[in-house]
Amino acid sequence: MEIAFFIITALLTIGAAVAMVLSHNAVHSALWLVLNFFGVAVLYLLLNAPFLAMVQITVYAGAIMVLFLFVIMLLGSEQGQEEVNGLPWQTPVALVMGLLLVVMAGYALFFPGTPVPTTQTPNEIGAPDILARKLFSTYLLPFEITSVLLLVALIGAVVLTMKSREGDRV
Amino acid sequence: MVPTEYYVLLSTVLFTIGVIGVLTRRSALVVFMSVELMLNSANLALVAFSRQWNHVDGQILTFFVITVAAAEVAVGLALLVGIFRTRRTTNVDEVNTMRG
Amino acid sequence: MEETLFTLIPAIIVLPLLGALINTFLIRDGRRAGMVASLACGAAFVVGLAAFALLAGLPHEEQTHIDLTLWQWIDAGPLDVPFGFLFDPLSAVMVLLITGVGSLIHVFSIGYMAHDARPVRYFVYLNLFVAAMLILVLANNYLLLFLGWEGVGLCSYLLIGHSFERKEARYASMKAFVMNRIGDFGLMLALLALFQHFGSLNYGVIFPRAAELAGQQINWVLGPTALASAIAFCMLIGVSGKSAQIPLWTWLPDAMAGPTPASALIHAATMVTSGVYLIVRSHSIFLQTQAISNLTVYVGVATAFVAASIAIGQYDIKRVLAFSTVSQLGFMVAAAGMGAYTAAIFHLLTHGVFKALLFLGAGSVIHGAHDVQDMRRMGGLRSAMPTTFLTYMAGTLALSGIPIWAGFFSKDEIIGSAFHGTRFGTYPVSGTILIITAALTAFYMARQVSLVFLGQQRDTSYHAHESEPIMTIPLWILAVGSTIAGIINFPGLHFLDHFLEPVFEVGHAVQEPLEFNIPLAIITVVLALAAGWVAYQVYGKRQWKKTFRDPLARYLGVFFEGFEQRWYADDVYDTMVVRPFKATASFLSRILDPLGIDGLVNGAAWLVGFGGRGLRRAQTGYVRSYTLVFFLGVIAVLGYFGFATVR
Repeated sequence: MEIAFFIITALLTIGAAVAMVLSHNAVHSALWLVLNFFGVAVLYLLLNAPFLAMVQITVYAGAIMVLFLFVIMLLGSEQGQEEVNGLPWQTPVALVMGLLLVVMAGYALFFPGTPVPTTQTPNEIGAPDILARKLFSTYLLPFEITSVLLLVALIGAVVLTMKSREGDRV
Repeated sequence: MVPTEYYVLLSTVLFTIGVIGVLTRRSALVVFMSVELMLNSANLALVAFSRQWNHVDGQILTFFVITVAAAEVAVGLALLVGIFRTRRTTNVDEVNTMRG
Repeated sequence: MEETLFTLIPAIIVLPLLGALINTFLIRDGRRAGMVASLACGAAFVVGLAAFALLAGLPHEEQTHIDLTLWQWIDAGPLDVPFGFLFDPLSAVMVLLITGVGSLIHVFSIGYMAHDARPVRYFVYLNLFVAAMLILVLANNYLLLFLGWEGVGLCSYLLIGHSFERKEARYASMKAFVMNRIGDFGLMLALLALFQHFGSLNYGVIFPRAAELAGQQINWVLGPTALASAIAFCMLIGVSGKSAQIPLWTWLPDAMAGPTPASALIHAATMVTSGVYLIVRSHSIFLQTQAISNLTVYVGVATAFVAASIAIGQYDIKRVLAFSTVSQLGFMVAAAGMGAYTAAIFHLLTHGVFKALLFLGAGSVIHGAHDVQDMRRMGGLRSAMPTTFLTYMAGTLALSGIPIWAGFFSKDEIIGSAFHGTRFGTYPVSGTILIITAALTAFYMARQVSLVFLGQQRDTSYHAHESEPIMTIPLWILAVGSTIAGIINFPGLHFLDHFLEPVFEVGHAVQEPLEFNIPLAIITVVLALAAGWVAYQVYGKRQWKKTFRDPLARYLGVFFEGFEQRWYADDVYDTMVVRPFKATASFLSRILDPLGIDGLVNGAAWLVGFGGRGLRRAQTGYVRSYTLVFFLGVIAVLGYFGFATVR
């Protein structure tokens, strides 16, 4: 039952990802990517990580993708940004190498040299309170640094997009 | 109970799709989205490993990755806007001033 | 008393240096520069005289102990060299000669250089020259001596090349410098050997232990040799460079390309005497080796004879004097080799005076004759330049060894030592050659005087005039000096012998003062007078055309050709050394340098460029292609970890 649900979700996620890469319209790509993010969120739930699933939906599918859509529409570059192709032969090479990577990973995963311990019983480690305790004790310093990082990104984004006044141009 | 291997394989597949997107698409926005896809696939693998070893650290790392990704997207999109202003394009193949 | 000496000695050197500094930075006017330079040198002479008087007043055994270290010059491990001065009787007489004659030359130069293009520069070099020479004679160790040694070499180069617009002056200065460098190399080897054995270069360490050198053996290019011989031989090379002995003598005659007073300074009071000084100073070492001492005698005698013969065949007034200097230096070196050190120094002193007189006199003639140097174009200048003629005669008589003039006593003492014998035995053959050389000396001097001053002026295109007093006064002083200088070691009185005795006591080289050998003196004087008379008969009696060929060419044939062409020494050196050297240099510069060195360097640059041109194709500028390579790397690394390590 669980396996079937997993497979359906996984196929949906993969399908959304493939559609994202293949779409000619950037807005469509973004929407396919949102679907993909939702699929991953569902998988997080399956993996007993409800908090992360919610973060995934709010931050990724919500905030980040809205930003993407906003920029696409601001620049008006939904379509027609693919005319120039400096490396036409790169597509087949990329496909072959991607296939190689998947085959390698599959081989390594399903035919391991040393036996891997079986999956343990489901547990509650993903509960928000456990996560929060860990985050505000062991990982307090990285957590604070992350906040500084976000501030820097905020300032950086503002500076980069600010319209410079005449004479300021370097 | 879905085995961890399945999740990791799914993660690899998603990662590969992201890489192929980066390597083949010329629209900077789509390339950027593909990068996000790759980050997500890595997150998925982390959470799967977190369950495998019954350890919360993988989830914490994912949490940080999401935060950093948010910051990265903000700056990256700002850069794109900047490039668009000067070059009137978001095609990465047209931005090749550094050719030797 | 000694404290006073300690303040006076540095002042002797500092004064000329000060003069050079003042002239370099403050003076623009040539005449004023000459005044400053003369004053500096004159003051050094006065200070030197005072120091000399104080030294003479000291008890005998203390006279060699005025050793003053100003500061530690080099202190590097075992090498410990003080910047110190030794003021003993030998240094004292040298100081008096250098500053005394030097001052007169400075004063003379004021007049001579009045129309020169760069008089200030000339006086700066002149002062530096004197300072360097003073360092050389006052040093209390070999390294400081070497500093002065190189200093005079440098200053002579600068002075000879003073009128560097003229090609021969440039060439002559280069020649002098290179020849001197060859000699310096020999001296440097000697210093290294001394340092290796004694661990010090100080006179005070080396001389008392010099006897050790005789027993030591050393293996070098000439096979196993006594260390004393090896060191003395290397020193002899240095001496032959500085004092213009065979084989490094050809630079000195060319050195007259410099201004005439500078030649006087180089040839008479300074520089060339430093070789003789070196032998006398190092007598403790030379006494340990009979072989090299004999070699020194032979070199000196050969040089004296060859140079005197060449002087007969020259037409340039200065060139005759130049070869005469080489010849007289041969006398001194021979005397020093025999161990007749006092005789060598005696002749050095008297020669310093009368050769300075002759050179300044020649300068006066050239100056008065409007830069004519060819004796065939002169003649009859006696009436136009009476003072110059009179003083020149004094110098001529002194150089020819005519009694009561200085040269007679000093030259006779050398010849007497050769026959009378020294600790190395007697040198009858060398003595005979020296007597003949003395006669030749009288001959070429009489020839010169006849051609320049007697008869009628052959080339009347110029109007000769007497020089101004600033030039004639030094001539008068030197003429008086040349006449009475014999008194400093007058037979029977032996002032110089007694004064220098303390110096030679250290090396146990004291000679009994030589008694006057009357038959020998008569022989030399008669020969000299006869030679002079013959020359007068040949050259002074007839009226020559201004482009005449020397009458001796008729009688002597090839020999005269040899005299005239300086025994082809320059040509031999040119073919044997200079041309191969130039050919090698030209090979290096035309072939090895552009093809070998430049090829290597340019090749390396081309290789880098080639690699860059190839590699720049990889830099497409496409971000996606960089990513592809990145991805390739990811797959490779994953493959390695997934398959190579785990399995």
